[in-house]
Amino acid sequence: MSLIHVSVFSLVATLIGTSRNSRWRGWGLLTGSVLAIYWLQPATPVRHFDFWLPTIALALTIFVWVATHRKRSFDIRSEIFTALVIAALVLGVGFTRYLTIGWHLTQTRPPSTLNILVALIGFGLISFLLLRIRRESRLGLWLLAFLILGLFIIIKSDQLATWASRAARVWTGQFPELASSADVSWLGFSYLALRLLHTLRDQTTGRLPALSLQEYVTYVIFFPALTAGPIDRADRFVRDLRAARRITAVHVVEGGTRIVFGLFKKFVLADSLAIIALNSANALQVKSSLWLWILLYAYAAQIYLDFSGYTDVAVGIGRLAGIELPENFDRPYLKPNIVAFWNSWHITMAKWFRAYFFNPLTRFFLRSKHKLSPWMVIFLAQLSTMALIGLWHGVTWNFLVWGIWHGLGLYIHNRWVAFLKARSHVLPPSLYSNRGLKAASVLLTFHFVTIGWVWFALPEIGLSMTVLGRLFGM
Amino acid sequence: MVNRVGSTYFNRPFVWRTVGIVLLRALVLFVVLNLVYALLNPLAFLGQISLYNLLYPGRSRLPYGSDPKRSYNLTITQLEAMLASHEIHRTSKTGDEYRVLILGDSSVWGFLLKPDQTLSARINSSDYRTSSGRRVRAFNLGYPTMSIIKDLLLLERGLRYQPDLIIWFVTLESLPTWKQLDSPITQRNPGPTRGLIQRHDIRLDPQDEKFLDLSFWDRTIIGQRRQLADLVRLQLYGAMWASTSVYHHIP
Repeated sequence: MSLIHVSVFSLVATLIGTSRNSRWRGWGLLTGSVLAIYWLQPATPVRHFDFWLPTIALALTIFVWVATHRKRSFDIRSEIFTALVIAALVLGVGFTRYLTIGWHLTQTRPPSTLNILVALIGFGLISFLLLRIRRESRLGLWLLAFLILGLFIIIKSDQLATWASRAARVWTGQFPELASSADVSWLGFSYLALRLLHTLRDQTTGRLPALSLQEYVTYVIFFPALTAGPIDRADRFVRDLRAARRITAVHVVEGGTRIVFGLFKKFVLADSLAIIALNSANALQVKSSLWLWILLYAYAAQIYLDFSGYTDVAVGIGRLAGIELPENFDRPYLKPNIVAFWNSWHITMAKWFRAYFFNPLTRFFLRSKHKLSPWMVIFLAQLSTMALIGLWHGVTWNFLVWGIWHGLGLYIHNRWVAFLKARSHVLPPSLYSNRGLKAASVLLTFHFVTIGWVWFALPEIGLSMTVLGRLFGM
Repeated sequence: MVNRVGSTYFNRPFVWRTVGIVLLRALVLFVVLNLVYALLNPLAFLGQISLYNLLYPGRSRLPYGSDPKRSYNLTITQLEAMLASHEIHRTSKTGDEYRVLILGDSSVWGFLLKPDQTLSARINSSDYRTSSGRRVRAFNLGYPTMSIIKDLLLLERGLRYQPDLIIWFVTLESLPTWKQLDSPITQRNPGPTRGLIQRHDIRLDPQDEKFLDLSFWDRTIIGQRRQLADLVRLQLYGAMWASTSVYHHIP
């Protein structure tokens, strides 16, 4: 999000939040979110991708709603009306192709109206098909889950994304030789995928509340949280959406303050630190270990300020619109252990993986025929959850190692706590309240996390290992 | 704010008047800050505040770079900041030092040359001594544009650092009158350049339209946002210069 995006979103959110009519507020949020998904999508070298990627995101969202919505919960006519409004908005974005350059909502000129109409009819037919499948089995849910996961793996893997770009270039008549993974930069898909999978899973367990199409689409592509989260839960989000309260001056003051702080963190602090933060270009140029540590600390600060800055902006804009988005960060670098760190770093994502991967996996291990020892269950569950979190950032060896690093850290901490617990009767109670020990724990946790950032910041394992060696004078 | 949040004023339904008042106050504050800044015109003073020669070593060449992300350097034209980031600004001259200033264009600055290949670096690495035993220490004050008035501007500043010898490389290309004010340094430092023209009776028009005289608006924070950002970036790139010794990207 640029400063212009933030300014426009803040104004739109305030207009929506101050609306006296709650129905109009709902339509305002839906319209704003649908238009924002196109406006925020960056241009890609593949022709019209900046239009089709958001359109596919919208279509996927509607497919999942069709597969998960509760029958007879809502008036079918109003749902069809919502679908038509969304289609009209997509067509409206497409119509901007007839305006002069600079007036398109997308970064480049949208495709022809005929192509858009054909696509919309195609999506409508798929929705109808899903509705038919849905009546008979859960096949639709599984198909959608695999489709979302498949798309996710494609865009997060360099090789697969390049192949996808090559295929798209052949389709559009462009040079396939110029295909690159960067062509498939699908804005916000990581977050969108988690929200869609969350609703698919909650539908099978019966925890998903009844949501209208308008509410569901607004939840999945809510414009402040589109680019960098937080990953809200549908049941919590819809409670705010239905609360139908006008914002007060408190919301404006608090929301505005969060936005200003967020902008300062992102555009002043994080962007300045980016100049001296560790990256693949400067990693081998640095002359001494001391400087390498400074660059690594700068990276640790930059990634926190960048990410939490965006969260502040999202929470602030959400507040202006009358939606309380969940917090994503809670002073993570001041935590005394790695568990506390993961309870305060990218909180909503960590909660998602805990709820939809760690807990089911642990239950699976505990119920399996081949009984595993508790420590083995914890080891496998933590390691695989963190490895998956690593891969969520990108399907590369470095992200995988970063995840395993944290998984090992969590496991070692778990064993350490168990070790201390077993000896609690011989350990003095004052040990736990010792300030020096607490400070040392914070320092140790911070450095554990910071060393882990080496794999996160650098794209290759070999380079990461070289940098790690140099950090310790090797 | 904690106390006020509970007040009736803040809990009543939002009205546009509230945001209007807040925005108006912010606007007034912003305007006042800009006016005060423009009246004080503190850019020259701010340019002297530098982390170079304090937290990290001074640069051995004046800041110049078209690709900051790769060269950890950037082009700025503010003379105070340029010299404050240079190693010559570090300490006062010691008794056994024979200080040499080298002036000229990109050939002296060392365009496409590694740090150890510039003339000043070669002189310093040779560890020359004068007949009286003083150690020769050369400082590179070259700058990559061809204009002798630009060199003169840097020489005038350089004289403050007590040089014993000045080596000034001049090519014919840097002599034409019409080229003198083409350098961004001369254009963006109209006051000092006009001073040189008057003091040395140089045949150049002090009112030449190439001079970029700042309007009152240009002297506000908004007007000088780029220069202010560049000052901060120069300091940040200093950390990268100190950690890598890179200050020029050679493709």
